[in-house]
Amino acid sequence: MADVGGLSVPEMRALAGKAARGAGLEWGLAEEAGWAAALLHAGGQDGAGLLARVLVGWRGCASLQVAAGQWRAHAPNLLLCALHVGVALVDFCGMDQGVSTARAVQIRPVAWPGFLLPHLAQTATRLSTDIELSWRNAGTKRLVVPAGGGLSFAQSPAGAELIGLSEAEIIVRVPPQRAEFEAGVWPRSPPACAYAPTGLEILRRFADETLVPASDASRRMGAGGADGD
Amino acid sequence: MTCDTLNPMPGAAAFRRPADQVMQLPRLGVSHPTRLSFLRQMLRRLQSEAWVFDRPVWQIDARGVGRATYRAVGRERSYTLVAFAHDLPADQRSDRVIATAWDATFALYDGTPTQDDLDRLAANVPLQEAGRISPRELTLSRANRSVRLFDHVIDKLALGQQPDAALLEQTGYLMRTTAVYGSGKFGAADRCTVATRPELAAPFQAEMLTVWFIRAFSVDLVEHLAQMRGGGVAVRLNPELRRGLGVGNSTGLGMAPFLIRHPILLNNWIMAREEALARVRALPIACNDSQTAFAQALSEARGNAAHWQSGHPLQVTRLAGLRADLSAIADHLAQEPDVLSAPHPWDRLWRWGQEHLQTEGQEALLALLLEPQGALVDGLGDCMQADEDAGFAVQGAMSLADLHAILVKHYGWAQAFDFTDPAVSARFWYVSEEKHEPRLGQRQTEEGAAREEPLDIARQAQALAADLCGACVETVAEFALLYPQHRMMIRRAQISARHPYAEIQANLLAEDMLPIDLLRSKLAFFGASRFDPRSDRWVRISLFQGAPFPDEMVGAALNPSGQHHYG
Repeated sequence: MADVGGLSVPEMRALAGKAARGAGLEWGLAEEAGWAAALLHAGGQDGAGLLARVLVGWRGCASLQVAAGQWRAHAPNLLLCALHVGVALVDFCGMDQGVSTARAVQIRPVAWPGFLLPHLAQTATRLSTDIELSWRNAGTKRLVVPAGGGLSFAQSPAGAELIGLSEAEIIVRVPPQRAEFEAGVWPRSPPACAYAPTGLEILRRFADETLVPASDASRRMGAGGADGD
Repeated sequence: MTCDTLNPMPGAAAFRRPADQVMQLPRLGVSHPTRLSFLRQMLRRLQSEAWVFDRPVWQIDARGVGRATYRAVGRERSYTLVAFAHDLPADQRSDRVIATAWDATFALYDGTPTQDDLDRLAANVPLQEAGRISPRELTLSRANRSVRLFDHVIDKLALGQQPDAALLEQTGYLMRTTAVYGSGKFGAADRCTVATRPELAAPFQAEMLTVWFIRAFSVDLVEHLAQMRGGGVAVRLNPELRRGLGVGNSTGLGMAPFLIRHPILLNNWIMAREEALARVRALPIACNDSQTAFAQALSEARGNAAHWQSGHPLQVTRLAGLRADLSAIADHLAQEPDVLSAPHPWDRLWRWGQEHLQTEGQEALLALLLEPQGALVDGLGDCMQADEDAGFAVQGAMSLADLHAILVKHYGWAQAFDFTDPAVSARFWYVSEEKHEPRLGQRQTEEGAAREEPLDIARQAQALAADLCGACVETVAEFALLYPQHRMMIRRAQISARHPYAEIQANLLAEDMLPIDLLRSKLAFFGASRFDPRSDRWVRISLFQGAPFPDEMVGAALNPSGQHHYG
């Protein structure tokens, strides 16, 4: 195949959504996975690779138990799935159980927490305020997720570190003073997409699980078109 | 819709048809193109903004093989169709999506391509799905010749004669597209990167420009081949005959799921059309100019219906009914000349139509009523795009009581189906392994239902309603955590609460569901005419029939699509 560029954002969204469905996620969550991977991809991040890691491991994750200020795994020895946590962060934002100006949320270890970034950005936009993500990895690290600002913040050193982590316990909160966690000026335009071929291959394999071999009956009935006139 | 504050007729809302009527699939399946259709919007803009057109490259040999470019130049930007003509053996000519070779392949380039761009496209565009284009391209497409007509026209023109008008009318096009891909497909530009341009803001404008240029290319190609063969004897196609040629299109199941997967976009298309109808119905009087224009549109529609041909039994019946209904409208106006002098005359005519016309006739009347009212309705074209991501996030704080109320109000229709009846859930939609294209399977006799696509909206709405009634939580966020299988339907329901025309109110799994109804409803918004179903799941249509060519745009009347006939 002559390849003169990476996947377009719509192509990534479509592939990622199918892959998530092929990996066994419900349709509504598969849509979220496609949206999130495409947003990462549009921001120059390896959305395909991150999603591939999430999909490979999600069945081994624990289901999420949501309570005010504390989100935990139902099974204490298992990790939480970043897709499920990210979706819940948006769903519960502003509510008693979720992130709000009044309350932080501590989330027990999440697998591949970098995949939270699109949903964290959506949470910030919905709350109309910056939110702060912190985690421990040789000291406490912080990342500010701006409201309505896309994913350019993920290009910061802290963003790059988070994307590379295989697991982390995180705290999400609205920072008390905006200036305290200045995000810094990162490149506004994304770098060239640097998706890992292995991630794409994994997504394509999962996506193939949504396909059905055409039956003789469907071939007879046809789906459109003819052989000329 | 985001245009409420600009609405010049807020009182028109009272005249809007309810979704329960508009969104029935059999009614959508007899949709007619209107002046809000996407190809009409494009032609109006090209003309009003005085875009100019040229053909910078024509490198086609005597066999009809080579490349050509067609360019539209506006005040700020230009777009160029890059066409590749091929020598396709007859046994490889197929409109099926599984075909791998075509008579001509195309890409719409953003700007004016360099020689390097042309060479890059030459290495990829003819391969279609097996090739790769770039964000500098907006569309990728292909077309096949209508062999019988194509050869006949060349034969005649080469001899210095005009082709048989009856044969031209019978087919209506020299080439038919078998796929027109846009919006990021195969590496093309993502729509969101160009949708802020006024000329591309309305839906499918790049695709419409592509097809319009393909029409010009198809005529240029036959004239070129006639010239190669006949030399000085050859003549060009008579402009009147040329005007009657459109671009054919074969559309199958691949297009059907689009309307289900884009509920906000569908709503905005329907809302614009319904608001247009409501505005016309709300007019207190019918001025003389609009009465004259209506009569003209009716006359052209009757001509179009008289020449509209189809061999499909369903369409044959519909066409007979349409012709009778259009005659009935004319008779009604002739016998009741005061109809258009009474208060709210268009509304009176509309309500008469509701009582006396069949469904297809009613939808044809809608298109006719809009035709004289450009100043009143054309601005609604600006409301037909959609920011679909704005409706993507689930509103987690919504109470279950509110979600249930939405289901009751907007999905009451879905409760009527008994999915334990095999006929009600007879089919399943899937994506084929062979070509990654949508297909319909029979649930009882075919494998694959475990990988069913989620077009079963009625069934999902029922299941959601059932689980809501047993839920012990208060909010949507809590419910979605417990019942992730309903997340997609929750999203749709919340969208429907704000977008009343978002859902087609039909069970798409039913044994008697007609996929061609889905196809026609979408194609009518494109501006397609002469719908000719070839089975219950694919249809041939014509685009731009009767419309001016690029060299005719200055001062041309932009007649309703498909209203042209050979007089």
